[in-house]
Parts: sequence; structure tokens; C-alpha cells
Amino acid sequence: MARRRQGKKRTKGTAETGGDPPQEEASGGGWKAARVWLAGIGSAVLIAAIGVVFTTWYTAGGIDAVDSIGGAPPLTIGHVAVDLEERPLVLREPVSDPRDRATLLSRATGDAEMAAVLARHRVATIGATNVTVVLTGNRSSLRIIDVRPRVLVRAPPADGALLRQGTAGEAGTVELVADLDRRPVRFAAKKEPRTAYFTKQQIDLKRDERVTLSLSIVGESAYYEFDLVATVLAEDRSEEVVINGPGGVPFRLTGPADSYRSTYRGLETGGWAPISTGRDCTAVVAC
Amino acid sequence: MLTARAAVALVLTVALLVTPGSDAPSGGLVPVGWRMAWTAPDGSDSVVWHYGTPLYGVSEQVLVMVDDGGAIRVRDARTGVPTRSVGTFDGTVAGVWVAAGTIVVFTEKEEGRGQLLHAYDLATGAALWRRAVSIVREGHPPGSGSYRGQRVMVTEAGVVVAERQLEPLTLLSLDLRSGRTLTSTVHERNCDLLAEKGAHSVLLLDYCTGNRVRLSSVDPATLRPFWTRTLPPPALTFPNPRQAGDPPLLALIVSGDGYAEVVVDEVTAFYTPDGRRLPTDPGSPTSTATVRGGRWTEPFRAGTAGTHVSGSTRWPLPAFLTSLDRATGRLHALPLDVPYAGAYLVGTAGDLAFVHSGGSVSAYVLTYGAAPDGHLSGLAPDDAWPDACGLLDAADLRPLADGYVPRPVTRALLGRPLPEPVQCDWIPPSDDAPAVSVSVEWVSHSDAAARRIFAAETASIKESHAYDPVTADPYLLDYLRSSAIGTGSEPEAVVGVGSVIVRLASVSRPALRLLAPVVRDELLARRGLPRPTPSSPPQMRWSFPTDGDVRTEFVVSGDGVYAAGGGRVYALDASSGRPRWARTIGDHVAGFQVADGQVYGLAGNFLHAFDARTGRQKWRYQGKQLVMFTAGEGRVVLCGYGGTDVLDAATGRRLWRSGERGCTGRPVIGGGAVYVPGQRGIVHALDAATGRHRWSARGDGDVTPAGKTVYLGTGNRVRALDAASGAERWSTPVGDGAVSATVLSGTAFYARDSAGTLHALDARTGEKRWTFSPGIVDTFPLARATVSGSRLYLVGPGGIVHALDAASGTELWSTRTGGGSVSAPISRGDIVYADGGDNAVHALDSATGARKWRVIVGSPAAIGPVVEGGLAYASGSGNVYAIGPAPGPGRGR
Repeated sequence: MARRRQGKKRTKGTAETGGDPPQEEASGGGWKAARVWLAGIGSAVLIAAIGVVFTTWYTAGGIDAVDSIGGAPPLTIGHVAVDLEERPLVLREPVSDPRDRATLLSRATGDAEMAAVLARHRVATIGATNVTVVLTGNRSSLRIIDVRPRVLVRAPPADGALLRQGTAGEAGTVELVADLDRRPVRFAAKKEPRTAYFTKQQIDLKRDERVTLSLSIVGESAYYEFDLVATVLAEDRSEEVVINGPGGVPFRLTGPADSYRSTYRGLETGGWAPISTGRDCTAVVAC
Repeated sequence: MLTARAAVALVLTVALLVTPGSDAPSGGLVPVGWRMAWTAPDGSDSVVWHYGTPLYGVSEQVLVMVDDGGAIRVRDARTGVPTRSVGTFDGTVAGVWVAAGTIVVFTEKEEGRGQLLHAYDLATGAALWRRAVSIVREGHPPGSGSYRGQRVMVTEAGVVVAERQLEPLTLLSLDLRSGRTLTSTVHERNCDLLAEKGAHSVLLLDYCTGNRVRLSSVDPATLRPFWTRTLPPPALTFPNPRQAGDPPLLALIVSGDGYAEVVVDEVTAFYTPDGRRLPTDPGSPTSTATVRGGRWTEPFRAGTAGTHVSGSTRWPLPAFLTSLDRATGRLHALPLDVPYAGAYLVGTAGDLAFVHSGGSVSAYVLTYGAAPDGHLSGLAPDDAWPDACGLLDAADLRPLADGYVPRPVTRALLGRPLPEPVQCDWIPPSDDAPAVSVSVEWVSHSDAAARRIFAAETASIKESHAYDPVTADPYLLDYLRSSAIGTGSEPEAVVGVGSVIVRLASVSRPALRLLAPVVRDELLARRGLPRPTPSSPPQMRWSFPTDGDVRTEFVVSGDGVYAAGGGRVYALDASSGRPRWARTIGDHVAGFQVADGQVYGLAGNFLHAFDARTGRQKWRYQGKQLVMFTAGEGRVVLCGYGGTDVLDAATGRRLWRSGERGCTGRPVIGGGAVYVPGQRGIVHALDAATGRHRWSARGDGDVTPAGKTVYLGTGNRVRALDAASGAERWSTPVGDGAVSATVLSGTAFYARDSAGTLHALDARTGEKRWTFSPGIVDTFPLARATVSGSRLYLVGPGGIVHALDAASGTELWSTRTGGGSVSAPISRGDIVYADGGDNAVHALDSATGARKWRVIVGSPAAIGPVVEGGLAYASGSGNVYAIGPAPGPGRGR
């Protein structure tokens, strides 16, 4: 027992001080080489062992810990899209800037440029908006336990400009709907509007696994700006991930206004044409 | 010796230059274009879409196609010369292939029944084998376990047949020369499967449960895989629309030499025949061969050049054939002399490509040359593209408004930016003037090539859109582009001069009528060419272009002509066509009427009322889901799915509402009553002042109130009812089917049955006077008869105008016009006017029926119900016309 203690003590002492016992020092070069060799082997084994342990730990969840420590969110928001093609759009303010007006009226405006003009004028869909969000898991295992709209702005319905567009058919069916006019605001299945959907269904994701959320948000009584808040459970910790609209701005939705300060119709070949009731027509060319 | 060597070298050089073949060229030459070798008319489709089977078989020696009589015609691939016909079939040809000297034909007696595969020896035409197959049409059900590829794939190693579309998905392999079964396999369950024929294999792309996507190449003879690649899976979706009918988008296109383009949702990748993925960027095709002598694959498709601009994927105009450079993996595209819309690649073989477009099939040969300096292969030099903003200037637009500003748009063609703007949008100073867009659609490498594209484009426009016959000339075509979503049309004009093709677009047709000739003349002046001389027939007194289709009847009232076109209502001076006023009321006008000095227009959920003389808006009424309306006797009846509203015509104030939802026909006002054709074939008579219900009666045809009597069509009967009580006075059966196109004239009541037969009844007793059958009519609604004095005029099938004695029904004469008419004939003096399916108004001698003259007015040609001031009025292609006998010496010719 004492020897064990001594030995243990010596070993400990060696480890703590890093010095070698004097008698070992006098034992000659062969032993020293053997010790170096053994130390090398030992170090390699130790490193390998650490590596194995680390790898096991890392793969078992250590990467999550690193991600957590590094502040990486549990979900990566890969793609956010709002379907603006199925419904009339409303701008909060009329388009008066000449450059923006030219962009709006041009038939060759690119998608991004048009989207920027519409976004500057706080474009909103009337009555409902369909949102598609692609999320990617950023932990080895996580569960999305809730997604809900969070209203940021509530104001009278927008009336700056009505942009009417033809629809090629019915809008895509989206099964999950949240009504901003009702409290609490939450998603529910169309067939069970009184039951919060995510109390019954959650989404499990592994690392790098993606999920596309197809969500519908409705509201008739006001102009709304809102974002989506996803609650994520990973390693017994819950975190909230905020999902903004395209371009990092809020999603928007408006109820119908009684009248609009200007009206345009979408052209199938691109651009918007003002519907002007004041267009003179007393000569053929001016009609 | 040296001379002999030089000769050999010369021969080899010439051989290299003239020998086509995508694999052949080298010596520094690069592909520079597709040269049309021959073209042949072919009105058939290129593919039987529900089987995915081609109607062309292609090899380097022959093109095999189906001729008009349903026989198989073999043409020399390089010359197009027919060499033989093969087989006669008891049924419809639903697929044709050629491989390894064998022609394979798929026929069926009727859809899905009596299906046979036939094989013939290509060299001799001798029949090799025939066997029954069962290729079931089961639709494309959502979710896993369905087959969505070609149903028959013919390769030199065997014929592969996918007999089922639902699980179990079986593939059957047949020997090409004997037709015997080689093997069959059942594909893994719970997989959506797509298959395409490769060069020596069949490629399978499947999406299976577990979000797995695989691409496999299988031996057509053994159906064993040569190789299999696992592809990146598409994103999961939540909630799971995959189960609700939205599987990932899978697409597989295989070139004739076996290179595959694979699309899984939004990811596109390219693979070699041995399964290697190429580093191809699908979004950046070029026409330049960067590696001299680099070998191109056979083209994958005929389509656009890959440029995508918001709302307009139509630029540039021509179709491009897209290939892969096998050395670099880059996509290459070279243009054809046909518009891309409607162009379809039916097959390739070596350096040959066969394209179906505009009712013909053409063979193209890939040509080689030195790499062009400074511009892309097969294309015009950059400096040949005119500045789109230089084709008009602000002064040209001044008649529309002062202060237009150009907005130039530059674009890249095949990744190479063009130096000048190719599009110029002229932005008006205010919303009261229209924007005008000018787009340089294409500049060809030669005038001849441009003329071919322009001719093909204008032919396609004339076939599918209403074009303006007033402005059409060899360089210009002004037309109404039909909206794909069916809510209207968009005015455009295309101009082709020299090597340049330009398209103009505006919501205003008068603006295009003004500016398209300016662009045309500018291009003609640049080429030193004279302007065409405008000409219009002397019988056309004036024409006025509205902004869209004239879908509703126009009205002639007093000295005004009122019409609705696009989203506007117009008041025109009847004698000059000069506009008095116009008002925009929406995207398109769904209903239009003039009554009691007011013009009514229905657009969306709004009914607008304007003063007919001044155009001043008197009122606007917002309803709910409005469908149609009628105005008269100081009332307006509005039918909607929310009910029937009756308004005071003077104020637009709602007087009362009926709970009767929707109208199955147009409501009628007469004798202080409103007649609403309602659901289940019941007509409701309501008091116009109060809405009080008077009576209801069975009635599913026209309603004609006249004094104390109202006439109803009920099934195959005409009924006369007491207008006050609804009591029946008489009822007379008239032929078969529903009664329509009723006319009350004096004591005669005329009605047509569903076969088109005209019945003349005594309006007082219902007694039959006579009947006249012009033949079985198959166009609806039927045109009414017109009574003029002692004569009655009627249009029958084929656009034949019949003149009858109104008293006896005896036919006096008949004259064929130009196909189906849509309006009742009208008579004025010695002329009977009728519209025809040939887009013309015909003037016939009222005494003899002899043709006097005709005027092309566009499609659909329609004449108005009134002749005013000696002029008849017509509409077509969005124009309103005044037409009359030619003035002066030419009169009547």
C-alpha cells in the first residue's frame, strides 16, 4: 500500500514537476534512449487516445457544443420566399420617384430590381400571403417545436398603389395557416383551426438535413408587418430563431382598402401598366 | 513525289473542310453554325405526349416519319428525298424509331387498345416481326410508385417497353430483330421512375422513399445496370406536400450520343455516358468553341439561348440548339433560322439535327469554320445590333405626350454583353400616357436568315393571334397577343427589315399604330429601301384601333358608335371614326350596353355608367361577383353570385335586391317587369319597380317580352305566357334541343332549335307557319335571322347566307361566304352584309345573292346590327370599322 502510495506519489511528482529521479539519471544512455522511445510511444498512444476520445465526443455532440459556444444558431435559414404572384399587391406609398416609376413601368426590369422597388414601397399582399422557408439543421439532432408569426407593426390598410395581376390558376394549397386578426397568433391545420399545429407535430432534423416550410398567413383587418419565430430544441436547450422576409425585412400583409391612390395591372410580358381613367381620347393617336 | 504529297494534303484538307460530323473536324476549325440542309412540310405532332413516344426515327442515314396518310415515310437524312414507304397499319401510328437498320413502329387501334409493335428492315422494307403490347394509361398519380418516362425506347441493343405507369413498374426487353422477349424486370417499389433512351443504354432516374435519387444506365438487352450514381437528395418539405401530389421535379434529357441532363428540383447536372458528372454550369451557355477542334455532343434540345429576363423569356427570338463540349463540359448554343417558340428537336444523328417548327420538319447540318474574331459563332457582329433607343426619339412620341424618357436596357447574348441597348422602354411623363417598349429581338448573320425567321414568326402570329389587317405590310405586323391566362390581350407589333427584327409593345394600340411604322421606316432608311405604299380597300371608310379584343357587341346609336375593347369603352363619331371620348374601367370589359342615353360597362365587380354624349361618369356601382347586366326602361338589372340587384339607371342607387343567385342567361327588362333566368331552368318575373315576385315558369331559352305577352324557350318548345300572370297562352314544339336566337317581327315569331333549323310561328296562336333547315349547325351561339321587308336572311353552316321569303319560307337564293359567321346578316338597300370565318365582311346583292365585294377586318369578324348613314359597322382584331360601297366610279365593284 505504501509502495503504491509512494509510487503513485513519485509518478505524480514526476508528472507535476517534470523532473526525473536522480538515480535514473545515473543509469546510463541506453536506458535514456529507451525512455525517450517509451515516452514517444506513450505520447503517441496518449494522443491517439485523446483523439479517439475527442472524436467520439465530437461526433457524439461535441460539434454541437462547439457550435453552441461559437454562437451558431441551431438552424440555418437557407431560403425565404414570399409568393407575390398569386394575389393583388398593395404598396404602402404611391410610386412617385421617377427612377422607381421607370422601373415599375419597364418591361425589362429584372426580378431583383423590381423586388427592390416593391420592397422600398413596402409591398404587401392582400388578405393572405404564402411563405416558403427552407431551414437546415445545424446540430447533430434537433427538434423544431414551434413556428409562429410575431406581429411587429399593425396599422390601417395600405392604399398607396394597387397592383393587380392575373393569376394562372389557384394558388398552391398550403395546409398550415395563421390568422393575424385572431389571438393567439399561431399556425393551425386548415382542418383543425382551433388546435395549434405544433403542439401535435414537430419537425426533427439532423445536421445538414433540410426542411421546406410552406406556410400561409392571413389577415383582413389591418396592415401587418411580422416575422416568424421558430423555437428549436437541441441538447435539452430551447432557442428561438427569427425568420425575416426576403432581404431581411419583415413579411407584410394588408387588408383591403376602400380605395387606392393609384392602380396598375400586371402585364404578362413584364412590367406594370397604370390604369388611368384620365387618359385623354379626342384624337386617335392620343387614345 | 512532292506534288503527290501536296495533292494528298490538299485532298485531306478539302475532306476535312467539307466532311461534316461532330466528331470529325479538327485542324483548328470550330463549330460555327447550323446550316439548313432541307425542309419538308409536316403538319403532325412530333411526339405522342401521353406515351412520350416520338413520331420521328432518326439515324445518320435516314429520317423516318409519318406521312399524312398514316404510312411510314423514309427520307434520306441529308437530302430529305423520300426513298421508300413502309407498312400500312390498321390503327394510328403512336411512335416511330430507327436503330441498327431496323424501323420500329408503335400503333394502336384506339386509345389504349389494339397496341402493336411492328419492325421492318430498313434496307429492304421487309417486315421483320409484329407483336402485341399493352401500354396502359394510368395517369400520373401523386407520390411514389409511378412511371413518367418514355413508354417505348428503341436502341440498337434492344427494345425496352414500360407497360405500366403504376406499381409494379415493369420494364420489358425485346430483341430488336426478332421481337422475342429477352428479359423483364420489376423496379424497386415506392419509386417515381423516369426513363430515356441513351446511345447504347437506357437511362433511369428515380426518386424513392427515404428521399433517395439515383441515376442508372442499364443494358437494354439484359436490363442490368452498367452503373448507378446516387444524386444529392432534394430538400424535405413540411407539411409534406410530396404526399399531396408534389413530388420533386425530375427531368431527364439524353442527347443522341448518350450525354444526360438531369434535373432534380432546381438542381441541374450533366453526366457523360459512363456516368461521370461534368463541371457544367447550366446557366451560361456560349456559342464559342474555346478548344479548337473540341468535340461537341449532339444537341440536347432546341430552345432559348438561356437568357432569362423578368416577365420576358422571349428574348432573343430564334431557337438555339444546345450541345456540350466534351472536352470542357461547357454548354454551347448556336441559333437556327426559326423562332424558338414552337421549335422542337425531334432527333439527332452525328452532325445532323432535325427540328420540327411551324408545320414543317427541317434538317440542319453542323458547320465548321475558323473561330470568329470579335463576335460569337453563328451570330451577327456586335456592331450590327442597332441601339434600341435610337429607333425612336422623343419627337416621335410627342403626339402621345410631351416628355417621354428612354430607359435603355442592355443584355448579354450567350454570356457576352452586347454593346448597345437591345431594349428601350419609353416612360411617359404621367400615367395618362402609355409606356412604349422597343426591343431588338434579333439580328441575323444575313438578311435571308432574318427574312426566314420573320416569316416564320409572322406566320405563327397570324395563326394564333388576331392581327391588324389595316397596318400589315411585308415589313410590319401589328397584333393582339393573347393572354395565356385568358383575361385579355396585349398589343404588340413586330418589324423586320434587312437583318434586324424589332418588337414593339404598349397597352395602347393607337400608340403602336403611330410608332411601329416609324421604326419600320427608320430601318428601311438605314438600308436605303423605299417605304411601302399604304393601301386600304375603298369600301373601308375608317377603322379605329381599340386597346384589346372587342369581345362584346358594339352599338351604333344616333351618330355615335360605342364599343368596348380591352379595358376601355369608346365613343366614336359614326361618320368619321374620330374618337369622342374613351374611359378605362378595368383590365377587360365583361359587359357593355348603351341604353337611355347612357353607356354602361361592367369590369370586375364594378358597373360604370357614362353619359353617352360627353363621357362624363354618372355613377359607379360596386357589387359582388358580378356576372352580367341589362339596362332598359330606367332600370339596370345586375346579376351576381350574391343575388340580383336592380338599380335606378339615373342615379345608380339600388332599388331592390332579389335573392335569386346568379343568372343562367341574360336578364331581360320589358313591360315593367324584370325577367331573370334562374337556376334549374326557371325564369322569374319580377316587378321592375318593387321587385315583387309576379310569377315563375319553366324556361331555359331566350326570353322575349312583347306587350302583354312574353315568349319563352322551354326545352324544345316555344311558349307564350301572359306577362301579368304567367298563364300559358300557347305552347308549340319546335324541333329538337333548346330554343334560341328568337326574333319577333310583326305577327311572326322565329326561333332556331339546337340543330340550327329555323321555325316560323304565328306569334298570336303558336301555329307553325314553316320551317327551314340550312343544315346541321355546329357553332354556337346561333345567329338570329334578320327580317327586312318581305325577306328574311339567315346564316347556316359553312357561312352560307340564305335569303328566304318571310311569308312562305321559300329559299330565294343562297351564297357561301367564308366559313362560320358569328353575327346575323344585315340588309341595307341592295346590299346584304354578312361576316365570315375568313376574317372578312362580305357584301352580297340582296336580289341575287351575288358577291359584290369583301373587306378583310380581322378575327373574329363581326358585323353590327345596324346600318346607319349608309354605312355598315364591323369589328375584328380589336378594330372597329365603318364599311360601305366604294364611293365614286368604283362603287359596287
